[in-house]
Amino acid sequence: MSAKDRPIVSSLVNVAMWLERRLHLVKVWKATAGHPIPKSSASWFYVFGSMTLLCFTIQVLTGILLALVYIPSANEAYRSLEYLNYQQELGWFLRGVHYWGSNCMVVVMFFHMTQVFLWGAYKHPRELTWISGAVLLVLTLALSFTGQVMRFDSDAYWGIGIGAAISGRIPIIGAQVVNLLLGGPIIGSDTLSRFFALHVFVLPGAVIALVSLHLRLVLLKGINEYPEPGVQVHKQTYWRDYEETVHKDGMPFVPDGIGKDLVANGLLLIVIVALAVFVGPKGPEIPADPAQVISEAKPDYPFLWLLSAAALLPNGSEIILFFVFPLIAAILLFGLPFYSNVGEKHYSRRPISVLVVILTYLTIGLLTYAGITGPWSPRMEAWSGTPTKPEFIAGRSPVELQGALLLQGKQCRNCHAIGGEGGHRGPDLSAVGTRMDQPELVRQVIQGGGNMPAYGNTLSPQEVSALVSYLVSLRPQNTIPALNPTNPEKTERVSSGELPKQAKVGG
Amino acid sequence: MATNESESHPPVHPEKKSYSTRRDFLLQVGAVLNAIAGFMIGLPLVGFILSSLIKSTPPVWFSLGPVSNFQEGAMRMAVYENPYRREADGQTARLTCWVHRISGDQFKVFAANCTHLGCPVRWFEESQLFLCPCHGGAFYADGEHAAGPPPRGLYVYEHKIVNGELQVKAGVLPTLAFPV
Amino acid sequence: MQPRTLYWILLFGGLAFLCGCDRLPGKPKEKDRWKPPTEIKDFAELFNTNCRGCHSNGKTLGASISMNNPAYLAVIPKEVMQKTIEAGIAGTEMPAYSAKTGGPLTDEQITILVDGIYNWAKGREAPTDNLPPYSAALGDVNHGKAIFAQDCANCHGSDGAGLKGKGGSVVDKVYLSLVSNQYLRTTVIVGRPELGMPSFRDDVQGKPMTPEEISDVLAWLASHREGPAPGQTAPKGGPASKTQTSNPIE
Repeated sequence: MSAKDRPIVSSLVNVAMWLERRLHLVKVWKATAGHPIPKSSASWFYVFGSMTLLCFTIQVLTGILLALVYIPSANEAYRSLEYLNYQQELGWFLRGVHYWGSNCMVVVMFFHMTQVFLWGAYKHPRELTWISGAVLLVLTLALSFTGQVMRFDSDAYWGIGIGAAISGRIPIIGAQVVNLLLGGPIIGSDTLSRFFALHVFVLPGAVIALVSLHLRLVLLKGINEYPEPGVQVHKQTYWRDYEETVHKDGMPFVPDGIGKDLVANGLLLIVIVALAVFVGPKGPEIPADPAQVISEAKPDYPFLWLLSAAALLPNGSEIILFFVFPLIAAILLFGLPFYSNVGEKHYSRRPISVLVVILTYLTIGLLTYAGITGPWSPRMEAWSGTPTKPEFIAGRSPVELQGALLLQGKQCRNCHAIGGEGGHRGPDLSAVGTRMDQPELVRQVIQGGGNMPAYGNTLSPQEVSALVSYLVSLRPQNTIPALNPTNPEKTERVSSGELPKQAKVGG
Repeated sequence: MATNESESHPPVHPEKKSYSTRRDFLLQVGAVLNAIAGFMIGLPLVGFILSSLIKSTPPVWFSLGPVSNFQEGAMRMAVYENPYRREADGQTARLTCWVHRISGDQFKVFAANCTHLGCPVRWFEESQLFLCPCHGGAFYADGEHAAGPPPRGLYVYEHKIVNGELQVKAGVLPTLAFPV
Repeated sequence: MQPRTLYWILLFGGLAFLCGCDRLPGKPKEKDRWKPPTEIKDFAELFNTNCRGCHSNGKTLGASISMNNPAYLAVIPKEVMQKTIEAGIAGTEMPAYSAKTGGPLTDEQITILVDGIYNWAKGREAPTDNLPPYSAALGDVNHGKAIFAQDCANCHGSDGAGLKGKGGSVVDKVYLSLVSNQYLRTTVIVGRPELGMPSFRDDVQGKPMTPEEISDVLAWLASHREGPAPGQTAPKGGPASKTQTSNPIE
């Protein structure tokens, strides 16, 4: 059956031909989706770039849909999020996809960057491809942070507060930077509006522009061939060799090279939907009400490592963390294709690069893990709500029990765990009796020190006595109390062979 | 038309100089015109972005209510309306500070923002400490640094008593760069 | 089945899955919705955030008196418990919880707490015969000493200084300076069953303590408060205290 027998088909063909004559579609196709790539670069390791693009596309689509309902006003934002969660049909699903899509985008982008780094794809002549990618990383992180502000709850509110406090550490112009960040003297509707403008106009626009440049560069300078150990990049010969490879042994990206990308992207999409369906969207939690001082102000996953670093680094090093470190990181990141322009591409010949990747992943991974558990944050409700395990209560004398009561009542538990329960800001006290003797404990309680406040003016002498007698009793069965060599009384007692025994009855 | 133009080029060659001068002239006029116009539209844009900086919003005096609202010897959270509030601020306009009525007319008013990274500190009556939920900074009742990473004591607002009302000078987010 | 039919089933099935199914685990539930702490009306949640740190709920142990003790709930009047939660007990670790005094709980929440605590004794109420009054004046010191030696010495020693491996000292001046007479009285009456201390009924099998005997023992215990209580002050030889000027809040 020929096309002439089917008038609809023949007219469609005519329309297509007309469009081709006007738009030169075949030419455009060959120059873009159908551009030739080296056969070796159709690899499972080369799928992360398109996955990042997929995430961004999901973010744009779900973002536009969310913007149909979301109200970017400090007065309304929280309520419109609750509306999305609980009333708007499938609002929770969209929020979930947008939230997990953003987390996935950061992760996949990080993988993409790692792969590009380890496979040496940033080297001559693809310097600008790398730099545009690095800018995209910064933009993506900025999108993630501003997006977290859109969830206008107390995490967002105090997150901005943290941003302002960090900016306030900038020498000389700190106050002005804070004012610009907040859009006024204090966090309010202007603050949310400017973060909204950044999140939905400025940053996505910039990402689209940069992605266009990034893809244009991929077309102009080609996709990196799969590197082989021992093959050096030379500025004089590389491009000639590459073009020859593509010419002799290339294949069109679509349809021959896209299969693995399609599989990976399909799986990623399923993962994002599954996370949205099974884990759901985040928050909104406590409203952005400054009078609710019950907030912990934890940022989303992509920034937890930064929070951890701020908590773990020695006091006073914030200026290094927030200003010197980003500067050095930026120089290293943007300068990479210039100080490592030629030479070996394959990771097996670049041990330092492999080490850098391992260290970076370890650092960020461990800091993120620390950020999730947040041991430096006091547990504000522990003193009244966290019970003590039976073995730390049973068998104590009345005065020791009063000490246990003081340990709760004076909020010691907010920072000190017993049996792993309670705050972890200070040391766990489960076995403190084996580490410190009575005079040491008295001194520590009264004078504080080592990141502990002094309680000398808060506790009466009797309270100190009772508290310390309880602390001394905190040691596992069959262990001896701490011995202080400067305490002659005890040393004598031990040397005379009489180990002080204090059997504790376990619950 | 395009072919016409290229064909007619050689004959006008003698006149090229004056023609080119006219083009250069127009180019220059156009560039200057656009620079001026760009400046005219660009300056207000920059001014708009920086408007919050240009408009002076210093801390201002306002009342936290009658002195009798504060029990002697007690620390209490006071909630006040941001003096620079807008209607759209919603509950973010409800700002807080900690008021310590030491005795009689002796007061001390602390900002709720931790001096480390600005998280909200909370007063614990029993242990007489302010604790910060973020990184465990602790402050004594007089606002001095007690433990943890904060680089200094709590920010203290200026206060005075006018007609039996406690007034404080606030309204700007306190940071290390602007410690009230 | 034709492939086209299958597609339609998948499409509509998928849509129905997303729209209709309210049981998807990721869908936020109404109970997860944030509400202000003053709106929490669930007894268990209130008790677990505010009380469990010091008072046993029957499942955990606490340093202070267990709330899940029918003997205790039989002897303490409801109004006293309500008042104690509201205003706390000055000089002890029991803070004031009423919002009226700067605490976190509303009147309604305190009522929920009190009712919930008394509910624990429902169906297993302690006997009320011979029940001594919740509070009473102190009795006779010397008689109290004799009663103590008879009823309490088994664990605490006849001088009250405690027996190794059994009960600890109840005449420790530091201990007595930290507890009220009412606390001692309540403990003598209801015991600390969770820690092995019997109630007034079971100190001596079959012979409950009389109200007078309890008041007398209390008088003898309280008499040990006389004289200054030794306590720990800043140790000698240490660096100068860096504490700040004291806060006058009491």
